[in-house]
Amino acid sequence: MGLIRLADGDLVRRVVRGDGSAFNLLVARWEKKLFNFAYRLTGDRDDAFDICQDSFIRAYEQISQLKDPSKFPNWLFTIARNQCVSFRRSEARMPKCENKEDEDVLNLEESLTGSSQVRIDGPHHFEQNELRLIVERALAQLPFEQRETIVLKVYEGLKFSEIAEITECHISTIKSRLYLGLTQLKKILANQRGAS
Amino acid sequence: MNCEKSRELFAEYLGDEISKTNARGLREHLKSCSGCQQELALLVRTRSALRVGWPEEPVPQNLNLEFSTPAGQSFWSRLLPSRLPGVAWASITVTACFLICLATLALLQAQVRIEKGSFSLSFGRVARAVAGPMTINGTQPDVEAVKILLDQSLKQFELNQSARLQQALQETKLEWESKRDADFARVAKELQYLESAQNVVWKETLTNNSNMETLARAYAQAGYRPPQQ
Repeated sequence: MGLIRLADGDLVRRVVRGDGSAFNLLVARWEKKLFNFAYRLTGDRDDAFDICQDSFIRAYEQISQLKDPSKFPNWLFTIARNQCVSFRRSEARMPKCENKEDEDVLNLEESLTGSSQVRIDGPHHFEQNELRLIVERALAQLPFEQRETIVLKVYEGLKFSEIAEITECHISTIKSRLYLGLTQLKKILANQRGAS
Repeated sequence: MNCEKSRELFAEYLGDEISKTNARGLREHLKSCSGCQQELALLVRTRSALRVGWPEEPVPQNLNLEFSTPAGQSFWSRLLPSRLPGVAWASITVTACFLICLATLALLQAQVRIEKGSFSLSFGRVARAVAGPMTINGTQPDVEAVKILLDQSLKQFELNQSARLQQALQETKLEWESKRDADFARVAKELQYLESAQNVVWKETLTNNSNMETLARAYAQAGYRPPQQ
């Protein structure tokens, strides 16, 4: 049977037994998910790429510590999440310049639409790029805990119990963060309301 | 169900993990509460906007990760090149073992000696010899000769010690005897001087009548009677 048909847990067992090439398949399966997860958390493509790469290397080094191989995805997200937290701390020590490029693009988009205000809850149809920038900036305004909860729930589709395990919080806290985060996002997006 | 309870269920609904019972209760409440209905509708649209607005995108470049060695060995594989020939590995291993042995011996302060084909190994600090090796006419003596030499030296040492002791005793004795004679002479001289001095005093006392009378009264008061002639 080809490796490609094996489940994550079986591939993990093969890696632990010494078959390093099985890990390449795990990388191929999860690199896109992991990259997008890190990207939505950090808001920076290059940082997300580095975090993704480091997370896979760390996972490979510590894979023998994974007790339940079937939980590999959640374990991988936990590693990436911790990498994001560490990265966030180091960024806090070393302040980064504002992303002028995004600012300029947004201004360009606004000037093209002829308005600086857009609405999310109306019949207005956004250009994809425009909506992307609005969502990205709105997510960036959320506290990290709410942002990671929304990314894991809305984008990655994890269960509350899995998110609680990854973030080491109680399920009720996760539910609360999701509700508060979405409410906050609703307000931020509503503030973009314009004469569309 | 009231609005507060209803909003507690919003997260479960938005997370697609609401139970059938709770979903039924929420649905009933929303029918009668336009505020919660509008709030939930906006939250659902917000969630949709997030999904539509920021779809998944491919990894921008190759991750450059190639895992071929067994997991857990990557640390060493980073430190050491993975494709060395067997001879190189053997020599590295032997050298490492040798260095470890040397370090261990140094740590234990080991001293290795090879004399006349015999090998000796000792640990810890050993007192160093002050003089060089013993020789007799430029050649090293055998064990018996060394014993004889040691006996002779010991006897000679004992004789010398005994003689020195006798001499010291004699000198001490003479010193004490001469010192004692001198003391006797000095004491005799002092006694002689004292005796003559006393005689002088007695003579002067006898010649002084007033003194004699005073003395006779003192004796009479004390109850003494002059001896009968």
